[in-house]
Order: sequence, then structure tokens, then C-alpha cells
Amino acid sequence: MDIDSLAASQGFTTEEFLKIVDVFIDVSRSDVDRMAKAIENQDAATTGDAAHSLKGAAGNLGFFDLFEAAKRAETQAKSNDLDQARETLSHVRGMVEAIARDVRHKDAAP
Amino acid sequence: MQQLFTILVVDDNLLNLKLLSTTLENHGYKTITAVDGPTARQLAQTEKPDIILLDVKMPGEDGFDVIRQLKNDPATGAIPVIFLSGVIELESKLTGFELGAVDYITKPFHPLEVLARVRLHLKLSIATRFLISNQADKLRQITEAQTSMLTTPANQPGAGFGVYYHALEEAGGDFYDVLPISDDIYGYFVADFSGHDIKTSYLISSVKALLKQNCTPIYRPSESMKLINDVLVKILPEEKFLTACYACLNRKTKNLTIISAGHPPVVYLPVKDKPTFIHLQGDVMGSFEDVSFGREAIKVKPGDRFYIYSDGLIESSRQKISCPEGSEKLLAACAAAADQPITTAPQRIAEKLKPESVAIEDDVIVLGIQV
Repeated sequence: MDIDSLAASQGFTTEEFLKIVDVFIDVSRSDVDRMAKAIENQDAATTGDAAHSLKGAAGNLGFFDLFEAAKRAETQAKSNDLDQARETLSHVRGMVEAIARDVRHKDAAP
Repeated sequence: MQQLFTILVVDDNLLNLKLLSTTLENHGYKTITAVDGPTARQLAQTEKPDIILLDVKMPGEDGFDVIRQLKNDPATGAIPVIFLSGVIELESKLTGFELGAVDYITKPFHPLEVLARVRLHLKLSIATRFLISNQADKLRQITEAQTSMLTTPANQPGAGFGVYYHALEEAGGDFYDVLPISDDIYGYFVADFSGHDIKTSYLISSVKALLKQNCTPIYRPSESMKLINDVLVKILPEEKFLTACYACLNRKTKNLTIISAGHPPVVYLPVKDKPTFIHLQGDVMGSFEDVSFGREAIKVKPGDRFYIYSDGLIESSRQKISCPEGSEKLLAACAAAADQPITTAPQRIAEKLKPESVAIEDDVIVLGIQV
């Protein structure tokens, strides 16, 4: 992931963008946990809401792969297909953690 | 430092708050944030932001509830609201606009697009405010002019005048004004517009404003009248014109200048002497640019009086009183009122010529000036 380009495309410096992504990771992890819990509880509405929130956040920052995955989970939740949503959730969680790793790496870079 | 615009960003999503506040602050805006509706409403009241960016989908009060309450509150009703929403359905957008939003941005949004829309709506808001304040200023000027139309001796004790004014209808065609030009110089203006209608009363306001602008120490009385005529030629409807008399009295040098624009002659009543008319030829005002007004400059003495009046005082078709006959009566009435204070003399003169038993046929003004 090219953090510098993503930052520039949004009109931010890399430093500003990293701070924003820190917030993104916190919010996204919270959404992912909410989704997981809702799926366990067979709560399609909450699953959809959490996926919707994650989709918006990812889209706003230009994380389009994550945006598409969250959108898929939202659609699955809306059609009450929580098994598929669980599968999608594992992809989503992986993507969020990959972004977190990239950011930590970028932060650590000189 | 230029005015700092404040943007209130309302979203339960902390990321959106961070994203938008960073973008807006990077471009010189002050931001305040709220994560729920009640906090947003409170901040809108206390901080008076220039624009509100409002999320639609929030727990508790949603964006639609918030805007309803904001628009119902006079303190916040005029603040432009831009909705931010992940809901892309047309119905939601239309609801947002119906509730009074100026824009609706769908998520995901690009922060620079939000910035561009904030700029656009700030410009529109500034332009609208300017328009409103401009219109309010103009209305205030008209109101001021109409109020000052009823200037009285008590309002201007240094002007040494008295006045009788009776309008035939609410929208009278005659009017007068007394203008303090400096501590010792006063202008006295009496005019008679052709026609009595609402349009006339608005035109009177315009003339009052023009008098205020042009009767200044910079211009000689004839120049002031010429300037006013030039504007009136441009603004008066074709059928409208006015006769007018302007007297400018310098109480220090004891000089009085009279300018007549087709108006009945001024009555001059020197102290302990008989009244006479000062007959002046002159064109009416507002009909054409190349006008020639009658002008007379008189050296006056303390106690001398002058009466400027409208033709309704000396003419009556019902009483079959012609102008020459009415004029004779006027001179007699002025002489008879010589021992009256100037504040009440015009009333006495009007009563002589227009007794209460006689129905008024036209507006009547008698403006008396005492040196």
C-alpha cells in the first residue's frame, strides 16, 4: 500500500494521513468486533449497520478493496445470509490488520 | 486577520470527524465537532457556526431530527446545513432538502469535495446575507426618511420654524423638510408632487433622501436643487413632476437664498412691515435636465418671517377662490398672525384660509420661518 500517494490523493500530508488512519483502525476494529458479535447473535441488522459503517470509513480513506469487502458483508447481512457474512468478515478483519501493519511499518520508517 | 469561519461537524463516526476537521483546518477554517444530535444543537446555539456538516444516520436523534429542531429555532434557523450520508436513496436526499438542507453529500466522500462544497455554500451564504443587509439598509433609509418627514419645531429648535400640514389622503402629494446644514445654516423645503398615490409617497422618500445627500455646505442652494433635479429626471415616472421651493437661511450672516421650481411665491414679512410676495419664475423639478430655477438672495434681519406654502392653501374650486384672491387673503392672514409665535403662526394662517367648516380639497402646507 502506497501511504504517501493515498495521503496526497486526499489532500493530506503523510503525517496527517497516518494520524487519520490511526483513528480509522480503532473505528474499524470496533466495527469488526461489532459485526462478529452480531453474527454470533444472529443479528442481521446490527451486522449490516457495522458493515455499513466500515464500508463508509474505508471508502472515505481510499481503501477500496476493504470498501468492496465491507459492502459485500452489508449486502449479505441485508439478505440475512450471515454464514456468507461470517466468511466475508474474516477477509475484512485481515484487510484491517494489514492496513494496521502497513501503517506501523510506515511509522517506524526513518 | 481575516474573519475565521467556523464549521460544526456532526458525526457519530470519529474517523469522519477527524477526516473532515483535518481537511477544513488545513484550509483555514475553525472546526468544532459533535458526536450526537443534542450536543450539535447546543454547539449551534452557543458557537453560531457558519455551516453545519451533519451526518444523517446517528444513534438517538438522527440528522433529520436535528435539522428540524435547528430550523425551528430562530437562533440557528439560518445556519446552512449540509448533510453527509451513506444513504444514497433519492427519498433520503429529497427529505434532507425538504427539511432545509442546502446540500447532501453521499459517503464515501472525498474530503476535498466536501471542502469545495463548504466553500461554495459559504459564498452563497455571504452573498445572501449581504443582499438581506443591503435591502434592510434601504428599507431603514426609507423608514428614516418617512419618519423624519414629520419633523417638528420641537425636533429642531435651532431651525426657528413652525408648520401646518394637512394631507388630503394618507398618501399625500405635498411634503416639507427642514434640514440642518450646519450649526447656523438651515434649509427649508416645501414641494408638491403631481398626483396623490402610494407611488408618490415612495417618491417623497426618495426626495427626502436626496435632500439629505445634496443639501450640504459644499453646494450652493441652486446647485443642490440642480443635483436633485438631475436624479429625479432619471427616477421619476414620465407623468410625475414636482413644484418646489427651497430656502436656505444662514442665521450667522443673515443671508437667505430662495430657489423656486415652479412653486407659489414665498411670503416675506419683515419685522414691523407689511408682507409681500417674492415672485420667482422657475421650471418644475423632475421633468427635464436643462432646468432654470428662480433664485433670490435677501439680506434679512432678526424677527423677519418667511412663509412657504403649497397651492392648496390659496386655491379652492369649491369655494370658487382663485389664486389672486387667495393670495390677497394669505397676505392678510400673515399680517394678522405677526404677533403669534412662529411655532403657531402657520396654524393660524391656515385656519384663516381654510376654516374647519370648509372641506379640504388638496394637501395644505404652511411652513413659517423666523430669522
